[in-house]
Amino acid sequence: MVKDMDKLEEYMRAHAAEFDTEAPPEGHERRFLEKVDFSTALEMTEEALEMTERPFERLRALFGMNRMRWSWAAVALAAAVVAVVLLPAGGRRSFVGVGNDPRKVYLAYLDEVERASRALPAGDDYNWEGILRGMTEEAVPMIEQLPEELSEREQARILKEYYGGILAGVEQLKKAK
Amino acid sequence: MTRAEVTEFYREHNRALYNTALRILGDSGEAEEVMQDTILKFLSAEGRFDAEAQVRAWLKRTCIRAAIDRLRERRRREAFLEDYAAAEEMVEEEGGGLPAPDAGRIREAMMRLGEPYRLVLTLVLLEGLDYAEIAEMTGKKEVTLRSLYSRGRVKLAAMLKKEMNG
Repeated sequence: MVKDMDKLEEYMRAHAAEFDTEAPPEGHERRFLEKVDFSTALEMTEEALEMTERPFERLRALFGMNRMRWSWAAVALAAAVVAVVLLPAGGRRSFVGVGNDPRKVYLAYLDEVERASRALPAGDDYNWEGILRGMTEEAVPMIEQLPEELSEREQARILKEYYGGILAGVEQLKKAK
Repeated sequence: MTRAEVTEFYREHNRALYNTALRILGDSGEAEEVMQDTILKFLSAEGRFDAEAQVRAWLKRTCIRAAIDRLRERRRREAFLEDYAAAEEMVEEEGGGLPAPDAGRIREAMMRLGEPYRLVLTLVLLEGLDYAEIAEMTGKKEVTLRSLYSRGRVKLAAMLKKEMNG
């Protein structure tokens, strides 16, 4: 009997992979992808970053200036940009791969803000940096304001909605600059 | 990662992890949840892995821990594992040898085993963990685990023999 059980053990160890034959229940892939939330996926590839910078060059040509100077036109444009930014953003930025950890959502948001800041034109003549800072800086980060009673999943959901709205506005800013 | 990359990653790993969780939990719905949460956790992990083997090892360990935690939650009002180790009816041994090993038959028999036996046999024989690791994951003493393992393998052998004898 002992010898038989030893053989059984030996077989199981050697053929462990053959035991992985059950498929998850039907629809499992769909349920997984719903959890990841690709509803407004935005992928900032090198190409996409480059494309957001081109509208700014066209804007410069339109105003016929090599350097942006403060003028009534420029102020009106800034106001228009801010107005666009303050309008309800609709949709939210995807925090792909972040899952339901509120801390990771917040870090992903900070990464996106930093990336947006690097994409701004050099020589802050038009105070784009100031506008970006006004949109994204928080006296008290939202993550610290959420009640602890909320589950991490719920906190992450709220943060994705909240920061997603801000980042959608930042995207508009980058297109307008 | 793009959506396509995430989907490909999921397709590559879901089955192995699902089966690991299923063997521990014995419930397809819970096994799916544990498997998916494990993959989601990996996707949001900040660490980087140099090799595919490291990725697989990380996923397996994380899945096992999560499944054991789920099992513990399920049984938190009952003594976890000890009752089975402490007081158990004698397993009647059937005469004759064991049938030729067959993964399908063994898998089905294991799913009929009591949960603690299935857990320990799975972790030792199919996941390749040692008793020290299992003790750390389950919070149970090695002596308890060894006792469960010994009884579990006898029970499994008895079930297989009984099937063979009809």
